[in-house]
Amino acid sequence: MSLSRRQLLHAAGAASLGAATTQRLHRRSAAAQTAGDKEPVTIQFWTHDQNYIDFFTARAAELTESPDSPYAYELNITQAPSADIITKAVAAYSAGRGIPDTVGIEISQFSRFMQRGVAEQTLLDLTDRVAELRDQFFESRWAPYTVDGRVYAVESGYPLSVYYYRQDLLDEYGVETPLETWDQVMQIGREVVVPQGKAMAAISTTGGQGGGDITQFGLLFQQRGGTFFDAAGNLTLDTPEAVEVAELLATGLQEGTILGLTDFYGGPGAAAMQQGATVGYFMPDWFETYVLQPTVPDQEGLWRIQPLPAFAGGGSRTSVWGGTGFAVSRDSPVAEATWELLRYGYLTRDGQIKRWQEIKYLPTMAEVWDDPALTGPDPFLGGQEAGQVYKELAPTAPTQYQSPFWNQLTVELAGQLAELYNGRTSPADAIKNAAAAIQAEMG
Amino acid sequence: MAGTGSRVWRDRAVPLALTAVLLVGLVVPLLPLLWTLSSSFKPVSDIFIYPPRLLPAAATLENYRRLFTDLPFLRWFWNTLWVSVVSTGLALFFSALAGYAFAKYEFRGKTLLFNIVLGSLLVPFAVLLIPLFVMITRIGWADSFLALIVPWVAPAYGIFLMRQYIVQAVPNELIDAGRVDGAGEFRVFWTLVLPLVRPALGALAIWNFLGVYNSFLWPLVVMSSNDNLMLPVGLAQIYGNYSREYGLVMGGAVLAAVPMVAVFIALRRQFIEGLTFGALKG
Amino acid sequence: MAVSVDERAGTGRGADRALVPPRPRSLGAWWRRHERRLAPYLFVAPFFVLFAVFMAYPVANALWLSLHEWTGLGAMEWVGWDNYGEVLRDASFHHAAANTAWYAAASLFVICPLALLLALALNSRRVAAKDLLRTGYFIPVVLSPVVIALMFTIIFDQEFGLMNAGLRGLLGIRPINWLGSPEWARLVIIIILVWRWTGYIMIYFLAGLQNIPRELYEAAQLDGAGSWRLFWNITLPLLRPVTAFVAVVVLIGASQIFEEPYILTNGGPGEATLSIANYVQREGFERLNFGYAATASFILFAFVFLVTQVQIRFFGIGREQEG
Repeated sequence: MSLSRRQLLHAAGAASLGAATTQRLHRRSAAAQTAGDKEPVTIQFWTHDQNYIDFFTARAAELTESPDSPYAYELNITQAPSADIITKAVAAYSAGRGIPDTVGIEISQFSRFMQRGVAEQTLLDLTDRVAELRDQFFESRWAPYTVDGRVYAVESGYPLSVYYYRQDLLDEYGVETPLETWDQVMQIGREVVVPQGKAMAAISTTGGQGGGDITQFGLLFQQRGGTFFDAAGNLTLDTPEAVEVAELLATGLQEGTILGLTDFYGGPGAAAMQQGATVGYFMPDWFETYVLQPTVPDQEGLWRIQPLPAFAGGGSRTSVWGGTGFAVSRDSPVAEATWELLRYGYLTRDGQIKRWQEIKYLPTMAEVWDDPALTGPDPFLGGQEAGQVYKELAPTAPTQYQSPFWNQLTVELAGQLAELYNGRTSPADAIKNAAAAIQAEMG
Repeated sequence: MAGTGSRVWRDRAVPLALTAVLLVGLVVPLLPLLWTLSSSFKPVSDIFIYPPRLLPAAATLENYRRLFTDLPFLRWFWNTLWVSVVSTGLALFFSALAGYAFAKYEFRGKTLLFNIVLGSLLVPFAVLLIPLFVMITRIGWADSFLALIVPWVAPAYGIFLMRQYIVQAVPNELIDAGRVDGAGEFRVFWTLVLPLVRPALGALAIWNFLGVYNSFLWPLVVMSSNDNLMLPVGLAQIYGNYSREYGLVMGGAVLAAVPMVAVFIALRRQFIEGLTFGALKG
Repeated sequence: MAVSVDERAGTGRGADRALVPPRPRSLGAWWRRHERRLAPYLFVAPFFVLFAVFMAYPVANALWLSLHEWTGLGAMEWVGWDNYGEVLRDASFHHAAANTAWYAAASLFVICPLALLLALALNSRRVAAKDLLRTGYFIPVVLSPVVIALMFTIIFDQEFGLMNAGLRGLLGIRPINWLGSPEWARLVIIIILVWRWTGYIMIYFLAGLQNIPRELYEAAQLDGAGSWRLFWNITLPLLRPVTAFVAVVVLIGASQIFEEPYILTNGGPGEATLSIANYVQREGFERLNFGYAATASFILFAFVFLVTQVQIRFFGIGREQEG
């Protein structure tokens, strides 16, 4: 099982099949199967992530073959970076033409659908469709795609965050794992790892859609028990927790225990990873398949994961960051068939397991976590039982609340964090100024 | 005699030194290009090494191969090329026609109309972006190449340039002679005027081609399907989707740049002459 | 000259009138009679049709849009002039305006002098390899801003960029966080603008220099004027029309900067490199405040219009136009 998954990942990842290729391949196979009396449907499928293309292409093929499904699917794929794909979608919705049938909305982009009435006018209201199943899923992964109590998208994964580390390097330096607290991480960094010319973790200091990246700050802030916005949408950034996290990152950068990368996901970030500039990363689950495996395939077996080190002051041992909600366009001519594909892929036990097996995105359906399919060694992580690590963390993950002002949050906070990382402002001032600026824009 | 010595120095050494400085200075415009070119032949692991190496240690064509096999790069190339050619052809025709009218006819409202042409140069594209987008989508041109071509086939800058050139380069006697021979107004323009304004047409052609070929914001907003992208947008997309693979991105950048650089080098004299004509009389 | 043309035209019309009966027999005959008068209107018609549809109407539309709140979907909500007050008070707009002003100032006061200097050097009769030099310095202009931005992302990368490697190797300078700190990031954008446009502006100055009669210099040299005085008293004044043109071109160009910040820094860190065009795009397409975005673009338009009017008055471009 695990072998075939890896083969699939290699076929998709290593050869990095372009969208066009995948689409052409599938078109050919679908044409052969529509000979029966199934209703042929072509779905305009928009996403930023190759993994979703692979996953839904496989599910569409299964449904096309299945006697239970009335549809013979063909996916017409559009792939673009996560912000651009939504810009295109917005343009298409505004025009009322060329709309996607389904679009994967990266979590930070969903705020664009929260502007006055946009979600309601563009996306299919899924609230009633998911009503019966809703309890079976972690409620915290419905919240990010909910506007005025209505659900508009289905989450693609459960982006639980862990600390990824190089077992070989830490062994070499005589560092014992797991690392229990952030204080411990910083101390080991200062005393053992920095003298070796390496860092304990790397963070993204620039890049990203706000002209800066708040990923690692946000991840730790949520771990520490903070939220950017509360359930009612009020800004709740200016807290001691936020200052504490800002302080940790700033100190780490200053001491070299944390490596700041200007292009974390780009070539420079890849180079840092290949050269082993850091012994670890604190990142969500998708980091393994989306970044680690394609970037350093030769480091297979050297990596491990563990729960995030704890904050002395409280909080959880995990966090969430990222995620992508798949939505169906309200005006899609094939909305029912599209919904059927989405339901089959994401809202069934079977689909949740396949998603984990094929693209490694964690289940959002609670009971699936007890399935034996989730156990088993992960070769990239040196045979570690990754599922078990995540399973213990799953119930304790924080909820990320959305706001129509997410873009403002990103821009202002990223700007202040850049000042902080460059040592030109204090953690308290950075947080206070960012909060004030965002609040001013929220009116 | 001392004077002669210093004159020799001034005539020989100074120009030589100046030439040398200017040649060395070429590093500034050219080094980024060479760096990009060299990076496109490197595997990613070689791009980010210290100290950097200008020449790839082991050159590979892998990046280029993948652009053509894994991505619809050829398709984007073709889109960009034909859109640029068609819209430049039309732009040349309409610019020369209107430029000719402004240069050689007296007609009621001419000053006002010409001022409108000039004034339209001042409208920032940011003003047009949103309403134009809304309009284009309403008339069903979203994701259609018409949206990339039609609005821009009579560029004000082209009309201005052609008018400046025609005023100087086309003698009124020639036009009159054509009319005496019984040629209609359009035939005078087509057979007598156009051949005389080739340099300006050449300059305008390159200029317009450059503008269309390199345009980004408008195609980004108005074209949506993957197969309909223009090169710059496609490149930005490669950068977004394959951000780790800089070799791929750099290869795309090189391929996108090659046609422009080649066209420019081939037509540089015409370009520079034609372009400056407009400026001088401005 | 114009008079003689008109006279001949007059006789032509007269001859026609004598031959053709009062009511035109055919469309062809009617056309021949009015061709001279109508031709210019037909010749400029394509521009004005396109202008009306794709510029005048959208501009009017932008004005209308700027008086509304609109997400791009559904009904617009009338808010009158409120958007203007809000944009003018918006701290982000202030940042964008200040950055754009920086870009414009750098273009005027760095690119123009540099281009003039290059042009002077390349205009010197005794410099060799002129064609190569001109082509070399000009080449950045033909590249797509996207290509340029991508090139400079790796050149200015903090850890692995060519720039920091060079500075470290040659001067032993610690790596600079080019794209991650506000001032440096703004400087990078300006460096790219200089890199991209200097060769282009140079060509204009070169043309201007070549049009200055040599005799003027020779006469002044006979009067014993040094090179500096020649430059100050002859070159600069005679370059005025070109300078004026260049100033207007540069200002219009600088006010529209979009691609470089968009790709290199996405306007960041924070809003340190955000241009007004970036701001308009962000407000419209990212935040779906289309009315608000239209307002910002209109304010930019008004500003560019005023400044170029001042420039035109100052340099007297309009008057030469009429001549």
